[in-house]
Amino acid sequence: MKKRLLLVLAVIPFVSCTSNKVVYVNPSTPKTQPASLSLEYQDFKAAATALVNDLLNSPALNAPNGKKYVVAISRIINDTTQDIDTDQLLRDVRIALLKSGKAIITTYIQAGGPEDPMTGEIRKLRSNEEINQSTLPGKHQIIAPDLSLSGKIIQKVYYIGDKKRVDYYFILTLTDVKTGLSVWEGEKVISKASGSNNYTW
Amino acid sequence: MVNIKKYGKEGRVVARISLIFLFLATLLTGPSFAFNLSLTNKSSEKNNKKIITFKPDEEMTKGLSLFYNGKSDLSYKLLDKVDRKFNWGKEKENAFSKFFKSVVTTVANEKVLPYQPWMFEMINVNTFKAIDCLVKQDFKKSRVEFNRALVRELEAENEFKKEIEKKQKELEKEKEKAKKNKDQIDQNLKRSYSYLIKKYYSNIDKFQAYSGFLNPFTEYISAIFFYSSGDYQKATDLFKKCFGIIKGKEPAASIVARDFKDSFQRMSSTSSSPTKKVWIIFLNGQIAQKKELRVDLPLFILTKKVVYTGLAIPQIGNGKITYPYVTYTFGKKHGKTKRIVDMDILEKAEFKKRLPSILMKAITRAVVLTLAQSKTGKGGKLLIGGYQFLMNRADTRQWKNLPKEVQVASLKVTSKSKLIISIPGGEKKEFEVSSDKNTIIFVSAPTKGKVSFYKVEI
Repeated sequence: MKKRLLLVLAVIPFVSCTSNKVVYVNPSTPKTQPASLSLEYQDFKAAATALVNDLLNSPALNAPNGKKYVVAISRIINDTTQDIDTDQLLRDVRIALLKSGKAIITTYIQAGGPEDPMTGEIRKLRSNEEINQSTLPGKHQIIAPDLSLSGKIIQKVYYIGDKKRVDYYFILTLTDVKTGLSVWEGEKVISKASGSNNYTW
Repeated sequence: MVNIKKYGKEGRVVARISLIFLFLATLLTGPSFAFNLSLTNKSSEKNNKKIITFKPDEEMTKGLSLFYNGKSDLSYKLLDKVDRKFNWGKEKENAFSKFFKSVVTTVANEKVLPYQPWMFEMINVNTFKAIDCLVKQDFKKSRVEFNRALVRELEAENEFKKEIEKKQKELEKEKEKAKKNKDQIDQNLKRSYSYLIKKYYSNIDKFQAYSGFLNPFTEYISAIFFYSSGDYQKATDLFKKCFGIIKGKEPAASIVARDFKDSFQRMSSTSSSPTKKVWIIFLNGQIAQKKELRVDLPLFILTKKVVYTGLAIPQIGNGKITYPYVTYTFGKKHGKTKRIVDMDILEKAEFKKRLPSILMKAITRAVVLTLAQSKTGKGGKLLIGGYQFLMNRADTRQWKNLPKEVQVASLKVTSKSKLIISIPGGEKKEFEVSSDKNTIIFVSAPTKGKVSFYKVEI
């Protein structure tokens, strides 16, 4: 009886090991081992890098006469089960666009209101007699955007036997605001798999 | 301190069984109890620390009660706690914890462990969290919560598919075993189980789910949200799915069919100002409550040396609606809401799936403890008999105030108009409905005299 009990107790640590390790499914994914099924920093980084490289390699931003396009940031919809700050995706895209020299981002004209309201606020000082009016920006100075960058992050969940697979689709679209036509679209998929008891939230 | 030696060999047997049980219970309940403490509310007052154990069944009931009372912020927080704890618990589960949970619930009682919400309850947790966010006008979070509710449905499907496959395999093994093994205990367990099903659950076959474990209300309210957010593809898919679930079963099928048609047409329309709609969602009454039934088990292994035997099993009654419907007047249109889901059906369908496991544990517990009584002396019989009497309880915990049913109505808005909603024999409420936004009016009536209205514009 005692020997059997000791044997059971000795086996317990091995039996209790979980099989909920998370792995990437598709080959062209971040090299760092994922910690969870949810989206992590390395996933945003990988998606942003892939998308911005695709955009810069396309002719969409090749403006005639070396002109730089003005790009406004539109809606990035989070259609997943996680509370995501979509700025995480956009941050690297914006930095890469600015560094490329092919585009400038407007922080005043943006979906949901200006990112930096100072451009609008400073113009309200035109009626303030205390302010040296010659130091204020003149009228008709703000540049309207040529292009609008919008996107979506979509999540699909699949149960396959004892496993769960989650596919994340990062989608960006560049639209010519004058014509309403899409001049570039990019998609990056990151898939993760684990045991069925792992959650994305 | 009890001197077990004076009880002789029987006393030592009882002591060994008790010690092993206590060891197992501590191993299993220890971590659970510790987790409960980590999610507790602690008063920071010096010398007056108050620790409240987290009880998911009570938190869900309180959460929905707060929604009914117009406190969506607090409602969301409580339901979110249940949501997080459920996921945390599942992620930490392993073969060891499952095994010991099984042992504890067989030898003791399900009630010694924290309540594990049923899958249909968890789907409703995320659905009502999404509704809380709609009322708070936090549409980004609503979208996330609706997506979570839809993933919970997938999870429920997968969970029970695995269980059904497991039970099939066990059944095959049992059949093989029964051919070779004429073990008396095994045979009697099965006969006891069949007896209980025949006597107390003869109508169990009528507990049919709508379609798998899908909640048509979750599908419908998500579809309304995605439609109002301009995601017509997703809305169309969800309206279609909802219609497929309730077609021929619920009177609201025709309403859902119209919404599906409108959404489908909208997908191919190039109009930048589509016709807006207004929906009425009526949360009516209270879901069926679980109750305990104590029964005498006709054991075929008889012993004359038994102090007490019996078992307690759960049963589910019928929910109650508060009003038959609500009526509306919208311009020249008049009508009443129609049922889209009967939550009792969801509850009973899941109960039917869980019943074999619940009954077998109850029977096994009764047999094991009764046998233990028969093997011990007088002192042991009293100890085990008393323990069996105390542990003989059915787990009747549940989310108590879920609505018994949800009814809906759907109307097109052609111009800014007044919508009047009337409760039969009582209250009337007027709403201004805008023609440039989609509107949802939530009407909740868990009991008579407690009606509340919320308007959401998307």
